Amino acid sequence: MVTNINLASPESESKPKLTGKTTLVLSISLLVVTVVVYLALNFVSTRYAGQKTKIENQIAQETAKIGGAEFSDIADFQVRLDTLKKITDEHVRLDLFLRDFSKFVLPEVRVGSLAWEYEKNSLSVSGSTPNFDVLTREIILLKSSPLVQSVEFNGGDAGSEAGQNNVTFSLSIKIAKEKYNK
Amino acid sequence: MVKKIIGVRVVILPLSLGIVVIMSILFIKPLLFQVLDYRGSIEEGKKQLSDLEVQYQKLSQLKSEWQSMEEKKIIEVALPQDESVENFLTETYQRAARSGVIMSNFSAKSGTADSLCSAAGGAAGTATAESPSSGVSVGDASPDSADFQNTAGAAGSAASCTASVPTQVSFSGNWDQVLNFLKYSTDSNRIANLKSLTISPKGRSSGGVESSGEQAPSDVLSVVVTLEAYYQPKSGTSSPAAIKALASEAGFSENVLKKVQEIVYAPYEPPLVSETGERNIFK
Repeated sequence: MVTNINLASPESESKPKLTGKTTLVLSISLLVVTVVVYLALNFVSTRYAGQKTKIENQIAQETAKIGGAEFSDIADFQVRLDTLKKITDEHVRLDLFLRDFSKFVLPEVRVGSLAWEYEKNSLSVSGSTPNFDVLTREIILLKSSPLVQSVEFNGGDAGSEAGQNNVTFSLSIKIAKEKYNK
Repeated sequence: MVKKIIGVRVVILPLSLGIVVIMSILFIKPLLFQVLDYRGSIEEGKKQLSDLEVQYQKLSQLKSEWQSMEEKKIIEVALPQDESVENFLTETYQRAARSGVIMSNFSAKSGTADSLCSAAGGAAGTATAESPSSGVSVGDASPDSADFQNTAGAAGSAASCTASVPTQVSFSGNWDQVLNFLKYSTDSNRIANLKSLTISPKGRSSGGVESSGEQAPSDVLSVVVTLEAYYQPKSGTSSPAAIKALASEAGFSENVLKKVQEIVYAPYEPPLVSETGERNIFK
């Protein structure tokens, strides 16, 4: 019968010494650390909340200062400029257009009335020509004009009376808007 | 005694660990997130505040520039705060006289420029109905005429929309004078847009057919134009969109100022009749 005896390290020395006191201290320390962390976070949170409110108030003050009466004059000026931009976009130099348009009216053609409307972008022209040949040439000339988008011939009538210009006509012309929005 | 020590060791440590875990989950974790959230908000707020301070500086600078701007007066006249029909009549009458045409009628009534409702710094104007609240009618087209009837009442248009004063002007003159008037009326100090035009030789019906047979063409033309002048009441508060635009962009819209100046200060150009093929198409 062989008996082994461990002489190097006795069993009682290798076990950790976790006594009741150590456990209690450890537990209390853990709780204290947790509570300290909580309190620290709470303190930081309260401080940050105060800072946040302060900054929010400052932002509100600055915003009120900027949007208030102090700068209402320049804001109004800018609004007026924005409006004027839209107005000037619709600004028409009709004198230049009519001058250009007259180049596309044959000398034999006499315009009796001319009506222009911006919204409809149309020009209604009626007048008289000596004969249908001139009227045809006039329509072709107008159709070739860069000022004109389309020409609609509404009718021509050769009157019974003899005269220099006895063919009356009526035309509806669509204008290329960019030509008079100079 | 031994049992008591073993009991303390077995119960207290797990219990305290449990309490720590529960405290961490229930209190510390939400608090930590709250702190992080506050920190983020504070950083963002500081940045916003700094931007606002920069904007304030920029707006202060713009205001001092604006106070010494010469264009301020031009804009005030080009787009006044009220209808000022009498000023528009005076200007139109002067321009008619300068171009040589004889003005026979001037009538105006207030309305709302529908197409310009959204232009007022992004203001959400919705009024589209024409307001008959005010009107001006001049029989013999003289600003100091006894026939001048200004029935202007309250400004009937929504403040957020640009209001217009559609004006009909009748006059007569020869071809060159008519062209001159059209040029002058589009170059007026108070910017007005031409909306319609009717020209016919005087003594003719609107259809252009001569009343009795073949007559010598008349030099005198009858013209009716519809001009739309605009006004915009001043707003008591700053438009946030305008303030934002001013603070973010490089100040006032220089291109608009330039364009308005080009219109108002347009040099006089005499009509180039016949030299390049233009002619009186009514002759």
